[in-house]
Amino acid sequence: MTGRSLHDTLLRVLSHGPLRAQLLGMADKTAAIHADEWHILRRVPKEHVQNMARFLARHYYGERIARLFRHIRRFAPQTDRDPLSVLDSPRACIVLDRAVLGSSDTAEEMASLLESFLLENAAAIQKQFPYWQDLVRYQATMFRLEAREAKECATDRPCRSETGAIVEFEWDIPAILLDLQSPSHRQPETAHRPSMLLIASSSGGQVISLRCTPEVQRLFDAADGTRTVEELGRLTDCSEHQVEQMLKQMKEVGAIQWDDGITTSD
Amino acid sequence: MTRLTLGAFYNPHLAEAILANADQIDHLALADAPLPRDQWWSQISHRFILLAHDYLGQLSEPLSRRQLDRARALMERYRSPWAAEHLQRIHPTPDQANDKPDISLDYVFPPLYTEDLLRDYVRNIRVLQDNVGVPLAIEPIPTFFHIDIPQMSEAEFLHRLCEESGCWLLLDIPHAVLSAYTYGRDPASFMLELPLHRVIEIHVAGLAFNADLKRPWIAPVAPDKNILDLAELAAAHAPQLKALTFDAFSPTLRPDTLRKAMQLLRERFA
Repeated sequence: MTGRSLHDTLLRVLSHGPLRAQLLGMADKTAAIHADEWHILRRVPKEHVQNMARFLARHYYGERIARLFRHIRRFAPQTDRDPLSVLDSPRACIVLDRAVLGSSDTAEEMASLLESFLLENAAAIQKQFPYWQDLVRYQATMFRLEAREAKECATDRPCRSETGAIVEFEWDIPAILLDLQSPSHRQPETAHRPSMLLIASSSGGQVISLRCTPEVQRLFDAADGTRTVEELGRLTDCSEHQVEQMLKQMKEVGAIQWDDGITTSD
Repeated sequence: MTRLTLGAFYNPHLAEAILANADQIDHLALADAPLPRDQWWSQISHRFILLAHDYLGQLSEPLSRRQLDRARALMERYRSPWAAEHLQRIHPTPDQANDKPDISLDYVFPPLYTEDLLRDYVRNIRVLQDNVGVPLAIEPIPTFFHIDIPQMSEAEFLHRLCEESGCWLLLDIPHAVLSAYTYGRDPASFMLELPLHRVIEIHVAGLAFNADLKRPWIAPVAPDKNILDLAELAAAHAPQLKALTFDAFSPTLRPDTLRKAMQLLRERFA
């Protein structure tokens, strides 16, 4: 055992609820950790480990809520619903205590809590901000996608990534976001028209959204890893060149997995 | 003798307040690069001395070429007189197959003070220091756990780290107070054991009771008298000290807190 191996184990225990439950003797499964490290960490007071783990989880998800729900947070003075306050609820404490930091499962649990908090009994808010439901859904999608990881898929046949999604909204979300960022923010009634966004999380961890055309939607739906670029072109009524261009952009933002090494020579 | 500069962290949501109080602030430390949409950045960057305090990499691991290039580019962009990085370990040893850690705490967390980790930090600090071309100041992180293994004291680890790598120290007073709390030590005597002769920057901030940790912890509040007294004591033993910074980087930091903290620093150290 080295200081490094012990510290590696400590970090894993702090960031992984089920593993921590094993260490603290709250789960039946046999520990999958090297015995020496396990033995030493068991001597740290249980309460200290639990307290620090909860603190770290609260910080981890607090940072993500502040960043990815920032537009919703701007309305907190009017709505009295600051998404960050979700972390103070008893249900969130349960999620924090069993969280696996960065996992899609924990992000899903947290996103569900956030949606319930923001959308339940929200008729008055919806009346004041008629795009409220769409905005919550938009931010929650970003929150979920950031935690997803693309499965290994090095194929020359483009495949939709777990880290991408196309979402349709009743309101023009890009127009609303633009309006929210302007100093003279006003109620954007003119933005009451449908919008469709491609939202994706890149390997660099950046979540972005792009306005999505019907062609992009068709391509995204058809790219299931079984079709060649040529076949996708036929299915989407686009030229092979157009399809390649769209796929490259979608790959860059993390919406598509595609080993395009042999097709990028043009 | 170089003049001691007083400053704060650049919190973009407080840009207007920072500019309005520019006569109180000499430097700004940057924990994150400014966003492209930051309308105040041009004024900010021209008005203040900028200190790079971005995450450069976990120094227990070798930094990649990309990380080293980014660190150098940041120093050049900000014209930062020194670089700063935490003495932290927030992710385990990366998987050798893809060189990516499987998890990251995304929050400062101290290493263990063992020989093997000291060796790794020394090696990687030297590489980073050579690369950035400016002094590198290392900021210790508060110790929270007693881990029952043979390891150096935090003070011994820091002395050896400075001696063997040539790095400098960024002394965060609240961090030292929290470590002393964990060790059951008096903060002043613990702090005086640290290599204060290598300190080039001091951070001050407030402490508040943390409900999760059930003990005091770092909070975005103004420093109290105890913290300022300790900062004054450390400064008196730090002949290389060049900057004193109110260390609060949080979206919840309020303009009045920033103003109050800067006023307290001015009263003591200007």
